[in-house]
Amino acid sequence: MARAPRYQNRIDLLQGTLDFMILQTLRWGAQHGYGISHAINANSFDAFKVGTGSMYPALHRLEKRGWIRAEWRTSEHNQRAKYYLLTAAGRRQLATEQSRWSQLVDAMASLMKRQKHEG
Amino acid sequence: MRLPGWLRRRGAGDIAEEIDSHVAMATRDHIARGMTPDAARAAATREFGNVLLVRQATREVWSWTRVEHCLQDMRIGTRILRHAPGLSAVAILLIALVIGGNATVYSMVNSILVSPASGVTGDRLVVVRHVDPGVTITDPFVSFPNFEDYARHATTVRDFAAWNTQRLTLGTPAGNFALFGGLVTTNYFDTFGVAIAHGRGFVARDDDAPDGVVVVISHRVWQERFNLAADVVGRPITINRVPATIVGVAPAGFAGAVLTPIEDVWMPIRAYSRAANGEDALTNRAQPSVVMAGRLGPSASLAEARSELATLSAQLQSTYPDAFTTYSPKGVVPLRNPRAVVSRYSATALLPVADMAPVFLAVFSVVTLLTLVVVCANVANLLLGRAVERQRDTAVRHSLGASRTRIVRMLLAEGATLAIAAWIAAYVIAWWTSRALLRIIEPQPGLLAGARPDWTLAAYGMTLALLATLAFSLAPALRSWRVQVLPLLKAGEQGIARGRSRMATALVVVQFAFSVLLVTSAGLAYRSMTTLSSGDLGFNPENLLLVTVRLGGASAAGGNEPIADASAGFALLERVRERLATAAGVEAVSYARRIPGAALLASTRVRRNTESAATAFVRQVGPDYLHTLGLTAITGRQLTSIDQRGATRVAMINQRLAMELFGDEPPLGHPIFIGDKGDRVEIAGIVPDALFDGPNHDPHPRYLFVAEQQMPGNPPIDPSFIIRYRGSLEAVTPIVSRAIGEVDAGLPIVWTSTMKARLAMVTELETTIVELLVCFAVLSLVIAALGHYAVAMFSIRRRTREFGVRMALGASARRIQGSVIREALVHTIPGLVIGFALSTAVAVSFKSLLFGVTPVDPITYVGVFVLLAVTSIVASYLPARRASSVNIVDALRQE
Repeated sequence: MARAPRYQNRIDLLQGTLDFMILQTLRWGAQHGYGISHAINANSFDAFKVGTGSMYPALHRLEKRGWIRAEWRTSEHNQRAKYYLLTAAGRRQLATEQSRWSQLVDAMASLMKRQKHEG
Repeated sequence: MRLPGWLRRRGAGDIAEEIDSHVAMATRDHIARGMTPDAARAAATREFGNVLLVRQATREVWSWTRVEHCLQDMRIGTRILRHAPGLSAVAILLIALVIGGNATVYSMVNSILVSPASGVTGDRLVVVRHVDPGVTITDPFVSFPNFEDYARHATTVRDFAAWNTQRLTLGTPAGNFALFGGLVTTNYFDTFGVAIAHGRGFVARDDDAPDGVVVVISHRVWQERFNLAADVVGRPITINRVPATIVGVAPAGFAGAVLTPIEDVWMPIRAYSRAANGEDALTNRAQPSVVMAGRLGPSASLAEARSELATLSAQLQSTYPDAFTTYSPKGVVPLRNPRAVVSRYSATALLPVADMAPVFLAVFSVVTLLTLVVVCANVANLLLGRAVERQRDTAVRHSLGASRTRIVRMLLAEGATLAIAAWIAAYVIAWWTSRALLRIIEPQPGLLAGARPDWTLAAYGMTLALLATLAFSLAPALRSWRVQVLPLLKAGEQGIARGRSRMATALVVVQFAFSVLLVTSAGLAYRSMTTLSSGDLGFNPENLLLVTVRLGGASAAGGNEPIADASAGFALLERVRERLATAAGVEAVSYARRIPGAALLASTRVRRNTESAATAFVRQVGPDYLHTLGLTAITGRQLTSIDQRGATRVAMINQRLAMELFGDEPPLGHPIFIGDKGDRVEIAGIVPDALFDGPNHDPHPRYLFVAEQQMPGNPPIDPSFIIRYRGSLEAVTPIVSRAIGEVDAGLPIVWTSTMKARLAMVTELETTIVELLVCFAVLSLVIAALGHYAVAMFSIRRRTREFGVRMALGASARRIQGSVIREALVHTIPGLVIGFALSTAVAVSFKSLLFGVTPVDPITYVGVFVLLAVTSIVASYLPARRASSVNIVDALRQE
């Protein structure tokens, strides 16, 4: 069978961005896939439109790595759904990612500022 | 217990349920915002995207991707068997034929090279030979003192046994027989793990011979000379006139530890040498006299044994400077830089074939590779034809995102599926053919007993199959690699195959030419052989027993004792003949130097005078030779016992020779002169034309017979008595054997045979050649036909649309079929022409081997033409039928 086609996001996500966003979302507690995609879309003001074709493989990839774990629970609407939770390893990973991202953001910000001054 | 992540897997159900719950939650949200349930569901599904793709992508996160892809590839690969059964069958058959055929030969060669002799069960056996880098020889012989030193000092190799094969005369009450025997150390049977069938083997004290020389006889001797007598153990016999006692019978099939010569008796080397006054051979360090083998110690490796024995041989060389010698044309010469080499024991490890094997295997590998290349080209053509058909399929997969590597892998998987199926089929074929071949060509019983297919054969076949897979699936695979997606999606079926057809056609032509050559050769050889063996011999070969004896007996050195007195030898022949003439069941008896079945027939120049000469077969025969063959002289008389030394030397010539030398003149009483020395003989009689030496390529051979008793020089070494008998062969043979033994104990029988059997030997080579040629011809024909089919099929598939258009324009199915077959035959004709030209050339140059047929034998050629034409038509009819069954609408829609 064909390998999964690449889904185009609104903004081409940098490698690892999606993983980071998922971990970030799960910081506040267990959440199911539908909830995670909602949260990402809402919190990024729809700047990132995360497709299911990227998100589900990403969730499972993180689970396989041991950064999150999954369990079946009953949702607030009495539906069975699979909830994802951060593991200890996941929290450590999130901390690393956060510091990496803030460095990147700082770097980008100073780059933009300089360009603005020059322009 | 929690498994590590990479080991855990997610079931498809789990992922599906998760996705379902996602869609369900989205639907609920939409309903909450006021949509109808149906619309909400539709919207949620639309937003989610391609459920199957997400599922697949998610699953892949968990899969052991590589392994799973591989399994998946294999699953897809096996689909080819279901979807294209015809193509698969053809491809499998092609590969199986070539791999099976090669594997058969390989297994036979391999088993000859690595199998132990029949009856040998010991393992970790090794043999020791000596090499001299300066002389490029590998000599298996060592002197007995050297062997004793090795046996004493070696720690890595134990149970060293030594033996020496000699030609011996076995004396029994039933007669004296010439055979090979082994002079062995007393641990010989134990070292080789030979289980003595009756009685006992040897023990150490047999060396001192407290009860005289003891002997173990082969099962064959027990059967043929003692009629399987239960009380054979303990019977007295003689070996070269040395009295000995039978103490045991070797297991059936055991004929010595080396493949050839076949040994029939064994006795302790020390005791026998002492009894036969040959003891100095055991103490002479400069006389290479035995070969040796031993068992690798339980903790020793072959490499350790090699280095230890090499050290030991160096020490021996420094202690005794002339310790190592070898046989050479100049006699026994010293080896300057000898080094012991240890190699694994096999029945052939001590024979020169062990040195030649690598060369043979190299040549064989090249031939194998060439045939494999041809067959792979055929299979590649088949698969290419299929690839054409699937280009659209491939392109669609491509556009759906299948990577190129994945598509190539799928093609390889198809190839591998075919190869594995072919490998299994090849194994069956090899198993069957090697059994069948054994029945046809086993040169002597037991020689190829080990040549049964085994795991080495399976491994060999697997290697070939792998090579084949790569070879024939890579071509289509690489082509698909370069495929441009878009044009294919638009156009469908062109592209891949362009430019291939010329090479493919050339391949078919070459294969056809080659099989024409083989089939024609087989046909000519077969016609020649049947004419040859159906011809009238001119005498009655029934009821003729042939007994070959060794005059002067066999000497201990394996050579022939020179006859002390030539006239005593001639007299002995006459005495035996006279004794046999009175034996019960014997009607007539004579003897001859030569009997049918000998390999070479040399003719001699016979001269009447300076103008008139001819070449003829000159045969020395005993009295009543013609009478024994059941013939009488046409004019004059035949040679009888009155033709003795001192009397006028006379000869009989056959009609043909008489006609050539004398024409219409009466030849009786005329002198003629034989050979370069011009020995003068007087013609005493004319004998009928007959094929005295059996079927001959010359249908009218010229013969001249002289009386053996009148010949100058020595009597023959191996004369044969020719006996016309009454009653049964089984009854008369022992009578004759005993009678010869009674006349002289020093006249051992080398072997007995019948005229019919010897005549069959004359055409044996031809028969084998014909059988092999027929095998190869059939194989090449099948391969050529399948190749032809592959190319035709390939071209049909490429032109589906063309046929569609033609049929839409009103061409009938018959017309399409006709045109396809015609096109295919266009390929056949050059093949036939080239093939016939080749075969004529070959047949003309081997004209001397043909008998009763011309090199352009019309029957053979017409037969081959019809056979090849039918093959070609059948091979192209199947594709033609397919072409005409094209669905017009489908074909046209692709435009």
